[in-house]
Amino acid sequence: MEMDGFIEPNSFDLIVLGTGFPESILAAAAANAGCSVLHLDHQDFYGAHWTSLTLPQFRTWAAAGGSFDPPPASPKEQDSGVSITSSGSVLESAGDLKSSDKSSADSFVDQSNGKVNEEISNPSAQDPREIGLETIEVKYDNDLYSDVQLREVEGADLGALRFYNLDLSGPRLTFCGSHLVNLLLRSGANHYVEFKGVDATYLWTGTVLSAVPSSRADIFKDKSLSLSDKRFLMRFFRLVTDHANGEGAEIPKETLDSPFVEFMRLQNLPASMQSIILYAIALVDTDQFDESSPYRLTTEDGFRKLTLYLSSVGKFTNAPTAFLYPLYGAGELPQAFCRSSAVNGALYVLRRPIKAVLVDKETSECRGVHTLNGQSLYCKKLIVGPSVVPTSGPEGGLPSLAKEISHSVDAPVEAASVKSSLGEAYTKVARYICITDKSLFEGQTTLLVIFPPKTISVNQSAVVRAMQLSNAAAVCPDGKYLLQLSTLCSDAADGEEILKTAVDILLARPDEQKSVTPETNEESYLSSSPKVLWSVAFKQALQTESKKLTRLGIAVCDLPNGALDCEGVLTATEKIFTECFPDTEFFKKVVRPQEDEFEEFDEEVEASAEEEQNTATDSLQKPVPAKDGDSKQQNMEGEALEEKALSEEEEKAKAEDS
Amino acid sequence: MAAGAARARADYDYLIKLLLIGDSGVGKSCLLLRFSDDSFTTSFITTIGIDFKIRTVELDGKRIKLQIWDTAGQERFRTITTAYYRGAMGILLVYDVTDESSFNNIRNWIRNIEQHASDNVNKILVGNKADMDESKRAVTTARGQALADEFGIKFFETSAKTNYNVEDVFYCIARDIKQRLAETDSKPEAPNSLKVNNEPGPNKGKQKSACCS
Repeated sequence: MEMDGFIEPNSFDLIVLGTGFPESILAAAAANAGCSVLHLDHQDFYGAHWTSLTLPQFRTWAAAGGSFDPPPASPKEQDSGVSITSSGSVLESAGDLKSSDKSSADSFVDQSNGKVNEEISNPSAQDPREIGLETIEVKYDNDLYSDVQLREVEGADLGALRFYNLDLSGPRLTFCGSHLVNLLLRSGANHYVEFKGVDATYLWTGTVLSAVPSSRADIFKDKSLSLSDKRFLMRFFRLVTDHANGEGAEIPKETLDSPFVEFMRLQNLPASMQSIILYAIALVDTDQFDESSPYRLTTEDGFRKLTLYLSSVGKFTNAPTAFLYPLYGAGELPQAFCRSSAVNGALYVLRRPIKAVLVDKETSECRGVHTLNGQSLYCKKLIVGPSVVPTSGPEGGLPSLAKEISHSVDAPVEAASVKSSLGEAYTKVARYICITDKSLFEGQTTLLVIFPPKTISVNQSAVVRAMQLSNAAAVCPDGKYLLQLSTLCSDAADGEEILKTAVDILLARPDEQKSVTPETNEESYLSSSPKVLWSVAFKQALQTESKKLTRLGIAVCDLPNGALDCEGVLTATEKIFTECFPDTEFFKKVVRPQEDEFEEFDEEVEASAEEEQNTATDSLQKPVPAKDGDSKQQNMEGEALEEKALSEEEEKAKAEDS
Repeated sequence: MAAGAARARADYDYLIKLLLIGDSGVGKSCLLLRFSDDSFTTSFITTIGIDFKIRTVELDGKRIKLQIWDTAGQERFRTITTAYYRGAMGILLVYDVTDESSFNNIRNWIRNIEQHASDNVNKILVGNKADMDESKRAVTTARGQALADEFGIKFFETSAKTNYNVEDVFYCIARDIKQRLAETDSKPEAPNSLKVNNEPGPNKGKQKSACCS
């Protein structure tokens, strides 16, 4: 039975373990570059720590203390010796596998009649490739989640449970103009996932939820800002845009390296606007007004983020703000890249745990893996997800090499991701998901709410984000809403407390809070507050010990970080790819033979891929190719008009004053 | 050419997403290539590089654009992504009439569909390789029909090689879906969703708002 049988061929350019978001992108990038790729996961679902679960799956996960069932193959470990002796017994053991394979709903019967397995002649003989290889046992770390608290509300009507898609890595979204969108286009994975635009962003000021203006027009209409504030803001945006285009006055290097918050202060931006730009636009994770903080965003990075934001607003029809959320949950993204990878020839096998990595004794380079069901699979390069760790302890019987590795635990590990820059204060990210029966704001389904540091409590040092989703994003049944929250935290219990307070703030309406919309400044009330029908809180580790494996030339992907968008993860992922395949382009656009039949798709993809490159990599509005000249012109006129309108209004105001 | 794309987009009355499902080697890709390209190859190819194909057909005076998705080989180890089933309106369940186990696995594929596809998806049972010598046949037409009846779905035997019934099976499911869509006036699951492509956003038409915007 092929499902549980051996994998043929057994030698690949790249083997990837785990189907998390970075792992899936790397598999797709390698397959895109023409490498032979084998992509394995020990679980029976895609997405690993980035997956979206149905409600029953989430309950099971939470009941197990934040862990998935042990790999389905483990109960039959003792059988693995049998199944490698001959192709006949592989088939015999199929019945066995079926009965012991509790977590898999499938019970497919053998379809290949041994066709594939016959090709593995005498697999018990030692493969010449194994000579000179050392075996280092590994296991899957099951302790990445902690403090799981599930709260069921008795008698609550949750609707059809299988229509829930609850993100394990949420809340997470992407900028419309992001590198991720660019990669989706270049890989063709854009055909496999759809998005819902976020309707609106709100910022908690400590007293009210204030709508974040998402466009120039919004700012223009915003009555909460004074005219002079608007003027400073417009100038500031122009400064950023000019800088991105390489126009305007040059900004000295020391200014670019200085904290962005200082720069904004010097530009006379109102404090409220500084907060919006830092937390709701640049999406920084930690307190920027704390001068002792080592994690202050530089002006250069601030410009980059603001430019990304500005290029994202209005990029797509149906996307009212700068942000997109994948339909059916964030877990669709790894799957989209996995399909792209499969279309380029990668082989996919789930429910296939490994028990060891094979390492060249001479060079200490990893040369393959040994699966739990007894097959050796060879590769030039191995990339693993964050849960793969070397087995330690006496029963592991680690060879010398592994001992050496375990001695190096204390040695500083080189972490590619942004998380290392957060230092030791933040070792975990606290996450919270609840199901409610009503939207926070009537008429809006998909919302982002930002709670800047110290707006919830004095000891809140990191930003808290909340995202509301609904069946408009296909993550829950009609009439239900999801709230996802997260914040960076330490091992101590402060994370959950802060998230719970944030939820209380969101739900404690109508009497205590009011929202102010930029257009009208009208306070909108709901007849009654949303009720929580189900909730779960948990913490996820940010670091793992698996970085030890990097000494064997094994690339280790990151766990989901505490960020709201995917850009940091993508940067780290692209770095891994470049290290593994130094001379290979990360997602070269390859024209697949059948594409000539889909002209309209082709055109869309190519045109936008080019455009993405322009906007995402260097500038908001590139100094113009000839055909865009007109629109550039219009743009200038538009600004001039606004400027004029502002002046008029100003004069009017003055006249009224006097 | 944006104008061309826009014209193409409006060039049909219905866009129908179909999936092919079934064991490895039953001829899913061959059926697809026969229907979309009218081509056939006997050399065994596992599904590599076939993503989806498009063919526009006319039914009762309506132009139906069929977007037909292949498994990309992910059926081989039962690792079809749940994302594959999203938005599918019709599914062709394919087995090989010379391979008993591929027929027996149809039940499992149906269970998979029930888990991951939308409830009202149209299904059709297809016994492929009907051109093969009777001595090689492992599943009689009657058994195929009986299984289809059990699930209340339609049944065809086909041959991608000889082009037997291939058009018929695709037209049949397309007609049923079109009728369902017309009758129910069904709204899409997520009406305001968007695909990441070069759809001209508000940003494109008037660059003004794109800026601070």
